[in-house]
Amino acid sequence: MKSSLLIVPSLLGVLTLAGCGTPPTGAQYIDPNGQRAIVDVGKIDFQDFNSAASDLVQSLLNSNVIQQRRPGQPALFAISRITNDTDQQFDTDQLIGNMRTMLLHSGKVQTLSTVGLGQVQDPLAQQEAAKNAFVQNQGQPNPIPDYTLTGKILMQKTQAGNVNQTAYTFYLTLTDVTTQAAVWEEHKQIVKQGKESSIGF
Amino acid sequence: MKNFSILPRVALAASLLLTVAGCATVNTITPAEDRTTPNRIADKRIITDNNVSRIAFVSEITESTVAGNLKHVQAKMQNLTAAGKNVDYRFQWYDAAGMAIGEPVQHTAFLEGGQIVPIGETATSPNAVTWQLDLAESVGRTPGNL
Repeated sequence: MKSSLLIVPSLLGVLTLAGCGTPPTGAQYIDPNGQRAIVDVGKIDFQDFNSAASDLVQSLLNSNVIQQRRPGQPALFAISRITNDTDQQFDTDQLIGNMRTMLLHSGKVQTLSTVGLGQVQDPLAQQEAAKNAFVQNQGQPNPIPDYTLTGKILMQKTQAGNVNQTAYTFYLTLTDVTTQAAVWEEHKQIVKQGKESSIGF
Repeated sequence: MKNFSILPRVALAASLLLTVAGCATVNTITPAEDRTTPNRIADKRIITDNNVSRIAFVSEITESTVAGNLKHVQAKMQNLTAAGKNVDYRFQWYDAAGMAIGEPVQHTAFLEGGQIVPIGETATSPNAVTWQLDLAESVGRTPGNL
């Protein structure tokens, strides 16, 4: 009698807990800044880029190295080489794009979208600026950034038994164009560990 | 009959031993004299998960200003249990009108048993005046356990 009274609430509790953790059976939208995104040990997930970008911007802003060279005007940044040294193919804008947005919103920095290594962010703006300079009989427009941002993304994989570990390191350097010296350097590490997944490696 | 009554006690003792043997906790040492002058902030909490309060107990919240006009907040979290835990956290910023600024970014911190870890964030907008901190235990959704 006593044991049967315990079984029913216990079963209800188990079923309730199981319901909280039931995976979705169909496609659904999730909060990109929430907990339901998939974590893949073998690759950099979008939430890793978001977290790394946020932490690196925090460090840059907290360092107080960004100086406003023109009164009332934000400092000018240009994005230099960002190297992907992992075995994964991705657009480094997943990191840098996030950072550009946060820095712009801070009011401390504006990024030159017509200056860059190789391909510029906005070729139309560059083209129109050149056209405008030609019409006004000015020289070739050549905005000079105050600072340049360069970096590298590294990866290291380790395995022990059936546990995989991948460490991703994001290195960034801010160079003062006037002095050509690195005024800020930071790295952010994201380490993920898990058992071999049923998908992929 | 006597042997059956001993079994539950033996099982409990064994499980406690295994639990203690598998968990490494952290001892924390700081200078006896407090050399800081933090701006400690009183907070109000909505607790819906007591387990999170145990694995990520917020013992202190401080605020400061960085880069001239950006608000910075720091919270010290302590894992009050003996087991290491992953905690997801995010800060949402609000302006003076109470409007949310931007979208929060989720971070994950790992706390060993007993460990005290500072988490913090600098607002990326000079309009931010206040914040909301969300804490939850990581659910770790991997391709293998969906």
